[in-house]
Amino acid sequence: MITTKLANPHYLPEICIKVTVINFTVTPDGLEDQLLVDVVKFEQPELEQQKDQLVVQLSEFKRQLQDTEDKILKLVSEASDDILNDEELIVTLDQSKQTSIAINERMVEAEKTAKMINENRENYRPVARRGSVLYFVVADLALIDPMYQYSLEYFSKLFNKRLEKSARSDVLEDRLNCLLEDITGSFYINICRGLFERDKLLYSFLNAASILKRSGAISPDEWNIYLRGTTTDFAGFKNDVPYISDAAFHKLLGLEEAHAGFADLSKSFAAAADAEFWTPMLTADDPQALPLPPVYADRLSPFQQLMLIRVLREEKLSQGIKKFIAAELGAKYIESPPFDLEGACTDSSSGTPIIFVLSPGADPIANLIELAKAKGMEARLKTLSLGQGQGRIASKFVDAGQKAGDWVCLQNCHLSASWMPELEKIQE
Amino acid sequence: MHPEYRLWLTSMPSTDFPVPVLQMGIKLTNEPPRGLKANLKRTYADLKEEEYESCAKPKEYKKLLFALAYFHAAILERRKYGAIGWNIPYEWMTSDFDTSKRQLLMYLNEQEVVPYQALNYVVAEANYGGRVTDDKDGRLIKAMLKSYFRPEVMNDSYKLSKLDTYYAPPEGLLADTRTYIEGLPLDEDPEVFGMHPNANIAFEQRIVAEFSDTILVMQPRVA
Repeated sequence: MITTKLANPHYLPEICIKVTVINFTVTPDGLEDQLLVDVVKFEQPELEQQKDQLVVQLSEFKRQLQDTEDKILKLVSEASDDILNDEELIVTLDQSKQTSIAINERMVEAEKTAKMINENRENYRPVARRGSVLYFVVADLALIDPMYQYSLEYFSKLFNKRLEKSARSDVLEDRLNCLLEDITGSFYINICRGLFERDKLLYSFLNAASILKRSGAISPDEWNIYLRGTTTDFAGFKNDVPYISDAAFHKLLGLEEAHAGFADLSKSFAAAADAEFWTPMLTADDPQALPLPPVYADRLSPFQQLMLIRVLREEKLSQGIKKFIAAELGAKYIESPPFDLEGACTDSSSGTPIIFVLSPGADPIANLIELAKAKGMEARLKTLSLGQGQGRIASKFVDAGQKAGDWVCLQNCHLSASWMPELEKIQE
Repeated sequence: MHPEYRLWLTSMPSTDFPVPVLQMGIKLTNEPPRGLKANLKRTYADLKEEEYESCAKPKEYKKLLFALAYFHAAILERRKYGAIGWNIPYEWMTSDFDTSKRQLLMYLNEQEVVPYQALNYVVAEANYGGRVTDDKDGRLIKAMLKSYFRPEVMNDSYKLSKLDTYYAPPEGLLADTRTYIEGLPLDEDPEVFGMHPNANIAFEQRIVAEFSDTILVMQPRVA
């Protein structure tokens, strides 16, 4: 048996025909169910317990039924020619019939309970679904930068911690809203501290968009046209709006195709009354803040308004995106959370290293020394810059540090690629 | 393993860095924040009260310290305009600021009058200027600092750019200056850097293109 952590391992054909590949990668639905168990276990432990018992009970019933059936078949097959005179067989048959009736009755009962429990559990599904959506956004971040790695374990630890720490309420609805808010917010802060500035807005945008995509508020068509533009060829359509280019006109037609909300958009641009709204949008410094013609102001969702900005004023998209995020998630999701070294230190443990991801011009050592002073660890802070031949010394530092309880700081790990596998072993 | 043991690692983004360590670790970035306001805010958040009140010439120190923080933020932010901002994107660091800040305090404490010329030289040519290799950039950085490090800055009505928004706030408590920074606009006008508003268009286009391309890369591929 071979296992790999690669998401999509590539093997030669000769190997492929000899092995069976089993994919244990988690799916959005699978994770949702897993998180639902976590949520219900925490919120209503008796419910989850009941459910587990029922599952055991039901399978026990099914096994008993199967047993009786097997027994009958065995007796029938072994019976003598004269079945009607076989006393034992008749008695057993009679008994088993009664057992099976009783079991069936209890099964109906159990299934009813199971249904009730399930309905109850379903109440918590929005929270589990939010968790699953957030995780997959985080998991995809690894595609942007090799340092953006988050394991499912890290994620569910944080998820469960939030179940515990978030504000309680006896009203189910309040509690659910509170959980959704808290989980989304803490993930934003927790993940953002490890992201580069340029990726924070992106992360926030993906969060908002994924939540809406999952709930169906953004349709696949809308998302596709937002990302890639329309694929229909509108070359034959005549542009009857004098103040926009043909290309822009065709994009408007593309929007009309994307969603019913955009109906008659191109006509609206041509109509004099609406043109008063549209023309300022083409030149203003803040097109996202200007009013739309009343019909569209009522009809278009924040995401659809963003699609419109993208078509009309692509260079102002950043502002549009900020407005969209603020409308869907809240204003705090467009500002970077402050740099919080102390908070990170509180969350760490002897088994959880803290990794400063460097960018040109950033030097966190001064901050670290300051923190060490504040925590009275200054004398026990051991720093070492990695590089050629420093690996052995680093191992010694770590060994000594683990025993004495020092803070060991290894700088510039990227310069010591050959020692990195060693680091992996040390931390295990 | 000792419970107080902590492992701190620093690394540039690298594919050699072991994934399991990344996954179980806490990752932190420490970038200069984007935008003039955010940059000033960070600088003043890091300042300590006793440091702020430690100079024998409090007014001169506070005014010039703000001018220095503003200079630091302005030259860093100028980089976002690409070649319109600087010919070469220099990697100025917080340590350049810290050194200049210390020297400012020292000069003010040791000398009777504010040595503007010496301060200009040390900050723009030695500390920050040490990284500048292009002679036109060198001229610019000197000219920029000269418009902040000058006697007029002691005057509360002296503006740091053509706009009315930015000035060295009147001498006061550290908290007052922080409040003043809090009130600055989130996105700054290119005029702050003495640039034409059109400089912004190229910058915005680049940011949006990067943003959209990244999202496209992240989409699942459908065969």
